[in-house]
Amino acid sequence: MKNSGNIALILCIVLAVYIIFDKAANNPGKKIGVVQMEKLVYDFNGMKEATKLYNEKVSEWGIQTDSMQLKLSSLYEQIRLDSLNKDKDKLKNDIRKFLILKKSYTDYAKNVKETASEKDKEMTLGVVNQLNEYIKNYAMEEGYDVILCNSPQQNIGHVADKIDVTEEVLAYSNKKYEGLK
Amino acid sequence: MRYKTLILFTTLLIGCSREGILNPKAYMAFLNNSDNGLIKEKTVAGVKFKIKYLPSEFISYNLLKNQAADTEIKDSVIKSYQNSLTFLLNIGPADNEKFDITRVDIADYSAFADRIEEMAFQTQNYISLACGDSIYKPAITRMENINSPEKSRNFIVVFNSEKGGNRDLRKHDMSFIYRDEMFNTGVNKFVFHASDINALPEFKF
Repeated sequence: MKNSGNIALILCIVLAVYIIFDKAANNPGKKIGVVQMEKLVYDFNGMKEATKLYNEKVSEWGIQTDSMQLKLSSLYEQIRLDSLNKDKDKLKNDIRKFLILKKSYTDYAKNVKETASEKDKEMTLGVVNQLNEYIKNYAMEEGYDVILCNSPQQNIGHVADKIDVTEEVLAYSNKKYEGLK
Repeated sequence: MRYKTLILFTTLLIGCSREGILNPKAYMAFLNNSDNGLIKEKTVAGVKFKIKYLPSEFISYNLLKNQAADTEIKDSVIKSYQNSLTFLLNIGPADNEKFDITRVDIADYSAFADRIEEMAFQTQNYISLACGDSIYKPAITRMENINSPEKSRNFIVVFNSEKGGNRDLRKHDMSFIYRDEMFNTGVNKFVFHASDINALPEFKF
């Protein structure tokens, strides 16, 4: 009778240990992934297209700036000739034209610089907003609780390869960007 | 006799269940069912974009539904719309947001007037359709419901084929591209598959 009591106690202990271990083994904890933001942003098709579009715009503005610069150089040469020819009226008139054009050129160049900077910010914001949405959707679809974004300054000290989901998120983002399911 | 009745009954059942010819209500339900690939949605930074393909028969129906039109008129209206492809673009707040798209991030009346001007007259500059090797710009982009109390706004976008009919456009998968410069959501693409557009059921009205 005493033996059977011991056996029951041992069985209870074994069962309790089994339950504890089983729970620990089956508890997956939080599913965490990490993306390397620099790679994700620069390899994202949306960024590549936006950069191309931005460069085309900058190039268009540059053509206009170059044309104004050429006109200024030509007028400067004309002023030099007027001076050598001692044609006072023409010299005065050309200096006046030169100053007006120089002011236009300075204003235009300043405007282009400001617009380019604004467009650059807008473009980057658009790309980052899209990527944030894709990271969120990827996490929800793949059951991630947390996806951390690692910056080029390495704000995450170490990332094990198995939780680095940069390539997966990139492939997902590029697919979604192209409008595919 | 019994056998014949069974065959007749089965034939009728199959005939009624297939989506061959639809009435207006069923047709609308078909268009609005995202599984049929004619409606696409995307949400970025709290802004939701919804694009719907509008078949020429459906546009004609909406135009003629309150008028007494004979078959000849119907056919002529449908034919006139068959030269183009029409989409309905809806821009509005995401499902969990409540802002009015014409007023979001707007500080004063002047900024509001600029937003409306941009939405009404410049949206077409931000839209294109990539189809096969060609890029099409919209022939018409019209903003609807400007003064509506709704939070979102609709745009009817029409593309014309270079060849004078929409069949050549419908041969390829199409990517509707909206390059957003108002809400910082970047370039948004929505792919419509030729197979989905060509699988549209017949529409009788």
